[in-house]
Amino acid sequence: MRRALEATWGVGAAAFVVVRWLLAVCNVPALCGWLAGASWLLAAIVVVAQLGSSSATRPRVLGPGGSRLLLLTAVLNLAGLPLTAVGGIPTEWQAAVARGLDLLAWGWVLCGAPVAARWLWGPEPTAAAAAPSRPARRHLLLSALILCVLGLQVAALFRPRPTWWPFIDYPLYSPAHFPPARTTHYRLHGLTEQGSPELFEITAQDLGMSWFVYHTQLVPRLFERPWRADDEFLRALGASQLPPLRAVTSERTVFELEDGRIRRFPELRQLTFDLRPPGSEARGGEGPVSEPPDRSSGNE
Amino acid sequence: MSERSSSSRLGSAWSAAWLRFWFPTTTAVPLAACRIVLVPVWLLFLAVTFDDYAVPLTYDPARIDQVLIRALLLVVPVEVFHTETFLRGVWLGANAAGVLATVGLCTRSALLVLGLGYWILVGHQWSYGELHHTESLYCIAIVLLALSPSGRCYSVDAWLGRGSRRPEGWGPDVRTDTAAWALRLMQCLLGLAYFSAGSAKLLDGGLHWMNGATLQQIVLTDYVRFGMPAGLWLAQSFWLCVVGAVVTIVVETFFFVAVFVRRARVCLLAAGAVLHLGIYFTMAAPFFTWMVLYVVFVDFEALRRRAVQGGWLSR
Repeated sequence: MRRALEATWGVGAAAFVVVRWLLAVCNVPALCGWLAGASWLLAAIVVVAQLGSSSATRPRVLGPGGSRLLLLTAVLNLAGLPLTAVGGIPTEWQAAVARGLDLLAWGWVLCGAPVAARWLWGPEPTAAAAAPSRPARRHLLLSALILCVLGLQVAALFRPRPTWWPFIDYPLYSPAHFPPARTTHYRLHGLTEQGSPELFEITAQDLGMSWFVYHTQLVPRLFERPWRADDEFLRALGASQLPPLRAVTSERTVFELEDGRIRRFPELRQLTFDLRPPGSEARGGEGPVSEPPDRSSGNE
Repeated sequence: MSERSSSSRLGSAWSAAWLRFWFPTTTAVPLAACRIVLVPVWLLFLAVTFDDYAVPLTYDPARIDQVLIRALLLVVPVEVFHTETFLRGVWLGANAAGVLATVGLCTRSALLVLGLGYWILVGHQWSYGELHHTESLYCIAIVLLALSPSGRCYSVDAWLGRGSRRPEGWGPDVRTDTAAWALRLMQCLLGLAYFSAGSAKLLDGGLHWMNGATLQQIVLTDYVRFGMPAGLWLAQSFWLCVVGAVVTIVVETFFFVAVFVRRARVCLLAAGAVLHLGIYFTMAAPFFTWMVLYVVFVDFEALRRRAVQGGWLSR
């Protein structure tokens, strides 16, 4: 009976932590209800198993403090569900309890992951290296440096803008998207002024710009406001090796993935402002513009 | 009284754990090996050409937003800093220091010049609204190597030191308690960076991030930009995108376990490498810097011991 209770507590506690953590990040309505129900049930199992046995296993695995904290997490979870189930807009303290539970769930997962890994891969080999028994002055200095570096890195994760380079956050591609998968791509085309008119793509390299600035800042700006003179563009154009241009056209193409096929929806806008760099003669802004060679829509 | 003694016992237990984690007594072999790998790989393969660092010279210096560069501008006038001559000087100085750091001559100073030089060049490059995440950890790693005894062995400094009046402080067999903290700190920073990426996906995108459409959209965007054929194939496979998203979140969120559980390292590093290669072949995002940084997890001291026992390496 005692072994059964211990096993129930172990499995229940692990499952409770994982389910409560998933609930903390759940934003899929169809799943959240199931996860809330499962976390309530598992919390009840943890509480009953923990109160019903006086095992020495729990303190050995979690320590006496950890064991009590898990019980508190489960009790808070049990109390929290009926509170949210009452309905309506949650009060400030209900939201605070929910946030606290979410934080506890993250904490449990973070602490539990190394424990689970040790259980999965076996105990660590005994450390051969000795460590100093008392901190020396150099240890204190280095500890301060370590804390400073870690502190800078952790603080950088919470800053609204990553301006502490090289200490920056890494929210790589973090927003979720929904079907259909759709993306927008911008390009610039120029029409030569001299000789027979020729339409060609003006690349980031032609303008001496980085790819990222060109595609995500400059060309979208020119497409959205084709009438407004853009100093950065005119400076880059003036400094480039490009031939004199009669006209420049910005292109925005929306790519949409549907049933495994990509559909393209291009749109062109001619820049209507004067293309002269400051101090030179007029050389563009009017004249016919032929279509870029690949503007037709189609599938890939 | 007993409360005070129990809290002091707890304090000393924490202090002992702290010392054990950061300052174990070991050789400088792993540090030297990391220096010998990280510095030349950076100089030969990972650092971009000077022309790329000079691209921001076409932008308005009033837009500079990185604190590091703004602090530098308090000392160096913007008319001097925002010129090709100044940046080229920094680039040349950093690269020359990199050569010295590789061979281990004036190792600490050379690493510091190399690291801070690239802090300036890359920091300036990302001062105008554009920011990429590949170089930051690598640049921190180089500066951390500069602050640790990475030239204690396998370096010209060590060769000169063994011929000096105090030869006992140099060589691969010398044990010190300040040889591990820099590598440990890099491991922690890598773990934090991965955790930041994984947790941001869960906190911003929630479980929706694993709906398949998210990865489809991300891969489609980069396919349109860079035309990677594998990207088109992945974007067209919905269920593969679901699996890819789940694997990405699990690997990124739990990579930090590799810092604390040695036995899990091979699996987690392999998973991380596969993830980065997958990202490269489908989205052309080159996170090779992070993959090279995995070198900080390699137990070079154990490899050396094995090589010495096997007769492959003389003591």
